[in-house]
Amino acid sequence: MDIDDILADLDDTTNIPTSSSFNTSVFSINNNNNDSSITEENSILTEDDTLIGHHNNNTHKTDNNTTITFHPEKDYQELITTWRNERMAPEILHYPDNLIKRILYYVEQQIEYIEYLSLGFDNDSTSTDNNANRNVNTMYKDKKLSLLCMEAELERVKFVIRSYIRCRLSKIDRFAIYLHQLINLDDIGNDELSKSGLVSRTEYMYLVKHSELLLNHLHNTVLKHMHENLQAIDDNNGSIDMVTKPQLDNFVFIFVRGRNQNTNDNNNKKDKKETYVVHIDDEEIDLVTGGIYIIRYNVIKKYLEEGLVVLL
Amino acid sequence: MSFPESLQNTFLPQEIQFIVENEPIKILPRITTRQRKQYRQGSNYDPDSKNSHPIKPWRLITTNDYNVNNMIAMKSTELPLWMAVLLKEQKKCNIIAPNWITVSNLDKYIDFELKNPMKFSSLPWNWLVIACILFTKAPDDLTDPIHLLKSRCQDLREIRLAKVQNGLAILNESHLQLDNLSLMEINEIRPYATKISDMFKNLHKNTAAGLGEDYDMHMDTSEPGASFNMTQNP
Repeated sequence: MDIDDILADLDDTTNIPTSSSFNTSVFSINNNNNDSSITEENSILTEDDTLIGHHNNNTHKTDNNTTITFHPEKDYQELITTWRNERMAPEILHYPDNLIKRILYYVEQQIEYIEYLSLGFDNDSTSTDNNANRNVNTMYKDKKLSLLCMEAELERVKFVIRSYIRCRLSKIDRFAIYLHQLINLDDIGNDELSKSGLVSRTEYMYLVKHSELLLNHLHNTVLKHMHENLQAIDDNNGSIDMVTKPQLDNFVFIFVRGRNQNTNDNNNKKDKKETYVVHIDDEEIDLVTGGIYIIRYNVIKKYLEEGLVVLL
Repeated sequence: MSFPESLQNTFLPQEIQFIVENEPIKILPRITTRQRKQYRQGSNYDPDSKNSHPIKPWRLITTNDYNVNNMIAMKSTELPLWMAVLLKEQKKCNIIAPNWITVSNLDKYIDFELKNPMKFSSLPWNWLVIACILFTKAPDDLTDPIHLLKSRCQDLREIRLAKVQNGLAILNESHLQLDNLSLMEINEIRPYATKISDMFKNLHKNTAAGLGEDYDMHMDTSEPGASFNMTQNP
């Protein structure tokens, strides 16, 4: 199986917004822009607002009470953090479904926008008077520069997404049987996969197909020639477990980020550095905010999930 | 298969640079992008006006694009480093070097490093990459002669590297604190540090299970009172 094909496949399928809520949000943004003829600055704001509003309503129903604002900027930073954590974590981390959907949506919109700008549709009707003509000329020069930057930026985002997905795929390959056990144990159908949130739908499909091929291959080449008792692939009767599992007590570098800005503002004790207690064997260790540690992954796992620490 | 061995459990230096390049830096633009008039009102680019957008010459999805749409020549603003470098290559801006890249400030850091053999000075977490980028891409924007700065940075790097290597001696099976170590430096020692710690941990497990106290005693005496700003567990 060629990995490029898989990746291409994955890209294709993930590009299509699958959930209905997402579709509606895309739609309403477009509608909004049609109806409104407003100044540039304002319309930027409204565009952002509708984005925020709809993400709030549709994809984050749990946070109805608090108004959380979503910006591409923040999402990108979150993507970077998620990517870095994934790269350094010994196990596969939860798949941020909504985040990836939003990012892919931004990318899609940006590709359209770049195409539109590079085709020069925006210059058509201003060339009536001299002043405008001059404007168009300078605009055209500037546009090349801005296009350069926008394309560079797009490539950067694509790189992160690609690297992130490839990293996850390699983990799925490595822990295929382990993940199979894990997901089968939860006994979930395809529809409820997002509930467990460990792997995305497409990743799950990949996992199933890949492990099927692998097991078939192992069976046909080696196992079928052996005694029936020795054919199991997940035998752990002996001293050694056959299934490759993530080494959760491996050491990782962490940075203690602490609570994020929003909650920090509410806290009056800003000066006092927060500490987080972890237990290693029998001893207690305080992790100070802003500190860098080498520490076992499993003791900081819960803080990682809360976002209080990040992997370096 | 999907991810080469060299990329697993570590970052490439280029990837570290990539991460650092997302950080903002101050620049002096040589171009003006702020529109004097509002550029257009409710313009559509799609005849079906299905996907109409307000025209905005710069629209970015990774950072706030307010700054880049409101650049005024010779008025300082802040952009992500990668864009600053890109504009610099097009000769459209000057990068304002962060104030720690001066001979006098770097000398202070070197002093600190020399006086505190068990601590790292509080250089920014991305100092190595920033310095490297500025030296190669924007040598004319630095305030001090570049060869002096380069030699200071080289000194700093070597002092810190030596400290890190000494620090490997007090790696243990529990944890280690390494404040102020920059991302690039962490990435450099990552393969050793994590592997050695893992080995210690396994040894510790085995000795705790069977062989008794020999190993622990050896650990305690090996580095008397080492603190290294890396608080060793007692």
